[in-house]
Amino acid sequence: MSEIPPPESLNGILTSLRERVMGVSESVLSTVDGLLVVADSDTVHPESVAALAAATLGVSRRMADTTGVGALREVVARCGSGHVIVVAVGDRALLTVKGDDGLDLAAFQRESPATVEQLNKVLASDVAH
Amino acid sequence: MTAHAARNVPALLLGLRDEGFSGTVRVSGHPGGTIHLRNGLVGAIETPGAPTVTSALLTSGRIDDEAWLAVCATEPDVDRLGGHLVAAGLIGAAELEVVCAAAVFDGAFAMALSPPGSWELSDREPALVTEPGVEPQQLTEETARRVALLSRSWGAPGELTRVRPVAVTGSGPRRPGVRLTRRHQGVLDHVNGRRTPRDLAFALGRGLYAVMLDLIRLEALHLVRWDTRAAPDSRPSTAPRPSRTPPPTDAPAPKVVPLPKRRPRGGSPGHDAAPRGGS
Repeated sequence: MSEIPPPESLNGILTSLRERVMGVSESVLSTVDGLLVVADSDTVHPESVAALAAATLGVSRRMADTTGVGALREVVARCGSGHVIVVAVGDRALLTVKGDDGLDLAAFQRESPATVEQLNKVLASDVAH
Repeated sequence: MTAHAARNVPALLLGLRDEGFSGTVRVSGHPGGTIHLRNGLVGAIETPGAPTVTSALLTSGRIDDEAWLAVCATEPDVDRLGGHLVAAGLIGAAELEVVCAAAVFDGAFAMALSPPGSWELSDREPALVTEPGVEPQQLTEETARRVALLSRSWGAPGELTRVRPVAVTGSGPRRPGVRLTRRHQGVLDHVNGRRTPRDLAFALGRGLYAVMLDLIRLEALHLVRWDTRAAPDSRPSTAPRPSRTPPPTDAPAPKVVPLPKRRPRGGSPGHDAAPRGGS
């Protein structure tokens, strides 16, 4: 059986997301100013993804604002052979998820709020004192 | 409609075959999937559990992405896309037929590996379908044969979907005494302890069943083992970085200096030092 880090660790939360949602292959948690926090990565360069996540979410928020379509939920980039999704984790962090062509988007949207909530809880300890 | 009272998905498909149903069966579950029926025959199956025809053709590089998009632009109804791909010389009719039919069997196999949930019928949705389609009876029998074969040669196929194989150290491409086919080598190159057989199928653009058989073979050769690694958890804090001189907590928020305003034809106010124009 696979050895999974405890769910209260950030790595454990990211690994658990990969195991619960079919098609999730890598994920990167970063700060809103584009710095890497932790990554469950394989082929991507986590620092680059962290930097681009900040830009992606920033630009997309402005786009949502400008076009008047309500608050931004998540950014989904559908590509030739996969997906990249960026979601905000509270006010200070971002989660970027790379998925393959068969990513179960419905399952991702079902599972991601809980994942974001778990990440948020762990990150809250950073400013608790 | 008798099909609605069916006990399970195979029975449902048999009922719909008798009715000559053209449309979509959406099966919920993990992963669940979408079965496209044309005149009662199974034309295509889309599931997150196995690559579709599109995935197989594009991921493997069999068809170039740009050429694919160009053909898609000429034909809005995906049902008829196959003919255009052949007409454009991107793939042979026979090869496309094989790939489409293989994807149907593979999709059915992937969906059979987990207990299906409920289903609902809906209207026809465009899909890259195999012509004329696969008989539901044949699909059910082949799926059962595959599941039985895996159960015999490995164990519960549901378990095999969860393994994350890793290459055995020293099983590089030049390992003496073992000659691998390119296909097996391709699988071996893609195992990394993170990918499940399904992930490998998507990464390679190959069928899930075929990848599972290759993995069993590679394990028998002691070239891969089922394993996962536990990642260490050390990370930097996300707390706002303190400045060199910590500000008092009741200090007002730092004043944000707005960017210089652009003026039509007036140039930037930030560049007053620049030589002025003659106007």
